[in-house]
Amino acid sequence: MTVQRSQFELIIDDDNWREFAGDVIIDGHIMSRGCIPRDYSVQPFGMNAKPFDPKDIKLIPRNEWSSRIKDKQQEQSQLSDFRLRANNGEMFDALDQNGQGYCWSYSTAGCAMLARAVANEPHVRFSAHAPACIIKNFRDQGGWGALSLDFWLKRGCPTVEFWPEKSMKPQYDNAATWENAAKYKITEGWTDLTRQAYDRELTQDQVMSCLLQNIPVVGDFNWWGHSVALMDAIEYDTSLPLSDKNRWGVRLLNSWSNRWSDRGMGLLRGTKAIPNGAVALRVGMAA
Amino acid sequence: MLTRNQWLAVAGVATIALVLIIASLSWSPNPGPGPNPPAPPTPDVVVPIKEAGFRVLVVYESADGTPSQVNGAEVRGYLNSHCVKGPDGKTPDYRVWDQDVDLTNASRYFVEAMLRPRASLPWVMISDGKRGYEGPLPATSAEVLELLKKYGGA
Repeated sequence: MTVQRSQFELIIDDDNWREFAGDVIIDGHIMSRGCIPRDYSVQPFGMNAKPFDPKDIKLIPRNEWSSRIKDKQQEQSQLSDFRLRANNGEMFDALDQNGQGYCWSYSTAGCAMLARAVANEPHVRFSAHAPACIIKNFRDQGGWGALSLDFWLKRGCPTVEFWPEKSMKPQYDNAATWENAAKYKITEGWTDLTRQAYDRELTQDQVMSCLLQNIPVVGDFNWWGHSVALMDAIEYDTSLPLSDKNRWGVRLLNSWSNRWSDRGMGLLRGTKAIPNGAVALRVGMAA
Repeated sequence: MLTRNQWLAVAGVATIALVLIIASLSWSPNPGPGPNPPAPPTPDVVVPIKEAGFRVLVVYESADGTPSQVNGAEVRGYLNSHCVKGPDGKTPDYRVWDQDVDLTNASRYFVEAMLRPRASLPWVMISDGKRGYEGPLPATSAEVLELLKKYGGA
């Protein structure tokens, strides 16, 4: 079965993850990350986003995953397919967070751009540095994906036309910027996926269910110290039992520009594909 | 001198002739419609999106997932190539929205379309500003494509 979109698409799994957990260098630059484990005393589960409820997001049984994945690949209806044609028929460029540790804001922005592509909203490029700068008062500090979603709920996120990409300049913190940002507020529709550390299987089921329904997921990975936008449910080995984590994985959209892996996209497999924290964007905003 | 019967025969022929003459004078091939003819009946015309140009709006409930029949390359390709461009001049003007989407910044004609009654979900509205369709979204991508082509052309 063809899993990789191209020969350049990296697959990170339980055997090789150490190669990627350390510094990753692209064009001579060490790529920034910045994800730290979610502090539930600061942001309790379900605080800003409704806890996962099968009434809101259908939990798809594992015995349906294989056929659904095949169908989506055949129809070219995966979130990665949307990414590849979202910019008026062309691929939209992967976001580039370098060099601040703001991955936890970039993953959210990436998911918002994917959700807009599914709805066929006009393509915009969000300035993920903006929410992170305000949240951290322009300090280069780590966070987690759900932290940025609180900002999206209250203030939205400006596009790069109003806050240039990767800028740390306070001059862009102005009325015009936040007027623009408010157009993209997501007032509802975030879902907090389970965080029970002992129930990783349920987390995987929720994440895969979201992706199979074209709901992008902000995934935080402690082994990687990185937060990324998750796009596609992946099946690696049909000979393995449904319950085997190595049968499944995800495709992600990183925030290290198009130069990482295959046009900024990569694959995770096994336990490395199960995020430690995750939020899903269910309903976006028409704008 | 004609006999009575001969006179009766002449009278009969004359009468017939007179009737024929009168009938020919009163016959007309087309009487005309008159000063205020009644309007002929017209078929119902549905225009769910009241703006000139081919546009499509799909409404669904996210709890049921984005309708897969509109997510594939074929249907999206058709929409991208046949829908008019939206206000930005670049984006094909069709949307696939959850029924609870925030419409604060949406185009007026899509907002109005979203306010139209829907009997079920997922629902589709197709229009070129003069005619269109609104109803349940067909179950397969092939059927969706067929419906789109009916209003948007081949």
